[in-house]
Amino acid sequence: MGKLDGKVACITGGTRSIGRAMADAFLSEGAMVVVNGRDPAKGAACLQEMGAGDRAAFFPGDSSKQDVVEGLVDFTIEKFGRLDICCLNSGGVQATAPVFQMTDEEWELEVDWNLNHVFWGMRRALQHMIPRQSGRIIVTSSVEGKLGKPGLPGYVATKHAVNGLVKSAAHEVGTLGITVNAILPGIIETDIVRETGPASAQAMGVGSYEALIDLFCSESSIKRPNKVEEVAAVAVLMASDAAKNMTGCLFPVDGGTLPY
Amino acid sequence: MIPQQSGRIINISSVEGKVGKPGLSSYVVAKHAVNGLTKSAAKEVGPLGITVNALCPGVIETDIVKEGGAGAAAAMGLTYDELLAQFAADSAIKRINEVEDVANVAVLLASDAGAGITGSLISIDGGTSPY
Repeated sequence: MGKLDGKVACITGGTRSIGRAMADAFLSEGAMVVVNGRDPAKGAACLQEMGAGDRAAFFPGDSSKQDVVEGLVDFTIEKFGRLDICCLNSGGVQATAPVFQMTDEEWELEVDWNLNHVFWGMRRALQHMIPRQSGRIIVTSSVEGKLGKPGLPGYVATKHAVNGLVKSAAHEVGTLGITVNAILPGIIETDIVRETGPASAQAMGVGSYEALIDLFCSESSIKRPNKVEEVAAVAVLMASDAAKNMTGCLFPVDGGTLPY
Repeated sequence: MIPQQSGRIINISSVEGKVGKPGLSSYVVAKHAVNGLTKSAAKEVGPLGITVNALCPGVIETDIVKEGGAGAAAAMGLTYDELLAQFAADSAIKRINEVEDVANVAVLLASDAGAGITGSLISIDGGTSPY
């Protein structure tokens, strides 16, 4: 008997890293899962590796685009007849820079990818969940939603913003059987962190990718990066019936980085 | 735990460790203190495979709350029922928490999957605390 038997989930950025760990964990608890990603080849490989047969599906597209995020929700409902768990997980930076050097293009990308994506997905999912008086919205935020590293102004601003959106939405639907929560991971060496980390390190003035990782680790108590499985375990809890009273929660998985 | 380089410490704190109702100052002070102790201890043993966390529930009708609640409510100028109603009203779910809400998170923290969570003050308060 899995904790998520019969539940249907969709996950933006679900083919790798944190989203993939969530997908694997949800599937092992009996859920059906639609994962989204930009690359159809990675999507196909992901479905193969997950080996969940007709309990898993892939929806392609760039989650910084409104039609993709809304389309993911619609596709999931059409394929599996319902949506119980909406994980708004993808996000990151492409070419971050300090405020005075930040380009409009990068700022707008980060606002679309980290903030608007969450709003679009949340709105579409709630429109389905509110009449059914049941559902779970889980947002992958970050310690940077409470802290504020230099050189990451768009990421910090958008993660602060999604934390606020989670609190506000949680209060709106609190009596409707729907919970809205965020998970705040510390540094995890995801594919996106590895790909964009060297450039981000320069923008943050820390010199190298290794120094960037060391900086985040030094601020934690455990002195190591967090792991995708640690985030996925919290997502399973939030998604389950057992967490019916957990909402508006900004749940840290950060090895002791955040003081509040 | 330090010689064995592994362990889990789970402190049951309270939403009153983050906010602060009137008429409960000694409880609020104590729970804020527990939250601080949690953070400090977590930093001390972080690299040693030991996690230290606090769970911050909203009001739950435990035996102690049932026994002492009327007195606490009176200190706040309320009846017992008004006290519970105020806690419920401050939450997003508009009802009070249950012991299982706390236990479920404690199981996660105690497990191997909880190795990356430490020094955290986890709200189990139906959305009452904004941080």
